[in-house]
Amino acid sequence: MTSMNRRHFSALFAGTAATGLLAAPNIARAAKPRVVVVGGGAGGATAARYLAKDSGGAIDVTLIEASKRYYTCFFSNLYLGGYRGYDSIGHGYETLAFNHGINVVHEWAASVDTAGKKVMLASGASVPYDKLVLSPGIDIKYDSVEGYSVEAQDAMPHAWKSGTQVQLLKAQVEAMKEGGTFVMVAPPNPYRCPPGPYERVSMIAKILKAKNPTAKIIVLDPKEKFSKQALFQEGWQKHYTGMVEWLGPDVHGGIKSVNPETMEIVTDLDTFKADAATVIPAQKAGSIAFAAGVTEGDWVPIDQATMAAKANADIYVLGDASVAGDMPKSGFSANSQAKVAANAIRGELTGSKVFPARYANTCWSLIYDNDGVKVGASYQPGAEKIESVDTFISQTGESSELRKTTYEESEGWYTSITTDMFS
Amino acid sequence: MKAVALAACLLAATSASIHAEQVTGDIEYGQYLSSECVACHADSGHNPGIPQIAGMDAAGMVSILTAYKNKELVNPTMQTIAGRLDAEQMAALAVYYASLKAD
Repeated sequence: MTSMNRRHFSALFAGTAATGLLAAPNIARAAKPRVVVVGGGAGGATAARYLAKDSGGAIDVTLIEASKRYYTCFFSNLYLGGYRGYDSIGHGYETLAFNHGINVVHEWAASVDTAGKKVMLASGASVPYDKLVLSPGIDIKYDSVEGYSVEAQDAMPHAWKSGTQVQLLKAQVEAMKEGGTFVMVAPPNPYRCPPGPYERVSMIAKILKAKNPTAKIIVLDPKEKFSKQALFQEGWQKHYTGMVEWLGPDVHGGIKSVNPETMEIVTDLDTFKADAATVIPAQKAGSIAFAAGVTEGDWVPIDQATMAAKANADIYVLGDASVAGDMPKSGFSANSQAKVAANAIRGELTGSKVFPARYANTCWSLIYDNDGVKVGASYQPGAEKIESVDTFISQTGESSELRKTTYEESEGWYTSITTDMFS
Repeated sequence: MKAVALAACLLAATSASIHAEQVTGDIEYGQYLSSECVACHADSGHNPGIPQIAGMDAAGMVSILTAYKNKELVNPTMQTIAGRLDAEQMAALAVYYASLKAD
């Protein structure tokens, strides 16, 4: 470049005054590509973190999460069962902001202007994006169980989004009258955390075994079978003998309605009167996914190689809200998918190397003290969807030593994955 | 602790065939692949139940992953993970993890 003198310099500015000079203070900022992430859970927090840290600051990352503290759904059962305190499943966002320069916005993202590429906050402000990541988790389909509603979740918590509802459920179980009956209405497929309801049953049984050993648990399930069924039933028989009764649709004939005022649950077979209950209704993608126009039915179809929404190449959808082929809806899956998406997005925005997608999931469940089981798989993009490559599952009749090791693995995993999300 | 002891045994048993070869691999690829490992094996710190692998000797890591792939080591999660790693991927992971500071 030739050396500039003052006259040459002013002439340059005069020529570009209308556009260049006025925009000058923003040029450095506008040059950075912008990614907005909606949802600060296992998918969103991981995506924001990897985008920021792996791009070395080359990408402007905003994370919109209404909660100031994230209480993980995974391990909420261990809090329920008394294995850890409530605070231990809570995590803040300050490290993401401070360590990685992520703009953490604690507001509610209400909708998306996909033409203008802006996220509209409930407060009225808008946040522009080049690429958008949605990881909104689930919303509860209250209408899917007759008699259930937002008002009902106080008497019969779903507790399927962690937080206060799990604390409420724990208090209700602990307050049950002696010899009382706890009823769970389990969810229909597909739902967040396939083994979750049955780990929950195990943790409620754990409380009752200590505090109320003549109490009973009845599970009314719309499904004919459930994740790790043989393992749970073996464990319930071993640790909570005679306490837990699981009824599938061929026995109860269909769950008709629930009444949160009388605490009655009506099935074709019989009406069950509960002293405490949990109803886990059918689920759907979090509302922002619908607002962004990327849903088909209740969930968001995605590109198996990148997690980009099939309906919009600039929007990536992670975790529970997505239709992820063979992968279950789990925190582990969301964290895995987030890294594939982050790698793909960085490649598009900065030209960084994009590696072939690989995914994994492991779901650990605790049945009783030092009796943990797991199921999991490795996955890769197939021709039509994400496909499992190889799977593993705990076996009935395993040694107590192995079950203890399996439980201890889960504790190590929890520390590691929350570090991977929030540090 | 058990995994480390087993690894030591394997290294002793197979040291003749390793020929003290330097493991060479693509460290950038290893870092990408490690994003799958980090959900359980945090890059630093000591977690109960999950061995720390940061700073592990590269040849040692290749040897352990190979043992999982061949189902000589029994953890089914690691067998599934190692089962789909080829030699290039194992080497990439090994050189990446060797480059991390052990805690």
